[in-house]
Amino acid sequence: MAPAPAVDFGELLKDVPPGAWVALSNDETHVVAYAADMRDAIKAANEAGEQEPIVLRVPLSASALFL
Amino acid sequence: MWHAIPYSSFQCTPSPAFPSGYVARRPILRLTLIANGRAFNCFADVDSGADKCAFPVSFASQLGLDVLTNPRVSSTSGVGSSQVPIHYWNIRMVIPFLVATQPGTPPTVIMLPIDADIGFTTGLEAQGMGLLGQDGFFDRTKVLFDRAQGVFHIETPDPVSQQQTTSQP
Repeated sequence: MAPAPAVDFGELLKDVPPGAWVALSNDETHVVAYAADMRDAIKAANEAGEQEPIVLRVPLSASALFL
Repeated sequence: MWHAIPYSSFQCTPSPAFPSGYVARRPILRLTLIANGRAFNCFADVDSGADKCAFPVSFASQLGLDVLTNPRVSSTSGVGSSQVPIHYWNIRMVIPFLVATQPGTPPTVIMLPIDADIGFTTGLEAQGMGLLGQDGFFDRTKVLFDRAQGVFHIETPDPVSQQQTTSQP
């Protein structure tokens, strides 16, 4: 079985400001919308025709994670 | 059935410790949270160090889950934080896995549904994605991390529901 393509979040989110909520296309290939408020990002994605976006946030500080 | 998933990459900014910055590789899964007839698509870090599965608290509101009326509250601790409230609901996660088929035919998506106690906390708001931890994920699946090869593997039980698709999961 061939693995799914890797997601390069650095490349995918390079034009999104830190702290923004992002609505990705359902096929994970591009940013449909982003906003400071999650609901605004989802609403903008819906209005752009993406009814099932994938939601994530660009961290304010892109640093190491220790969870 | 085992599924191979490449590690995702995240560009980390320069710091005195790493003046050129670096690329962090993380085992990330796409999934859908389902509650109250609503679905919410997001990502989560496969985190063997997490006791439970947890997500940003703002995801809960998108699912119609009200932290103010939920008595199932506890607290979390992690590096740099402690005693952060976390609110639990027993809800469903659905994790899609892309299965390649023969050339010329559309790929198949295998769905792994998991019903578990899922926590929602402000402690993950800054990260903007969830954690798949020991209870609710690692106790339901087999996971093999092969960081050297840039791939991690997850085994889904059989049988699972399948659907044909023409796009990536």
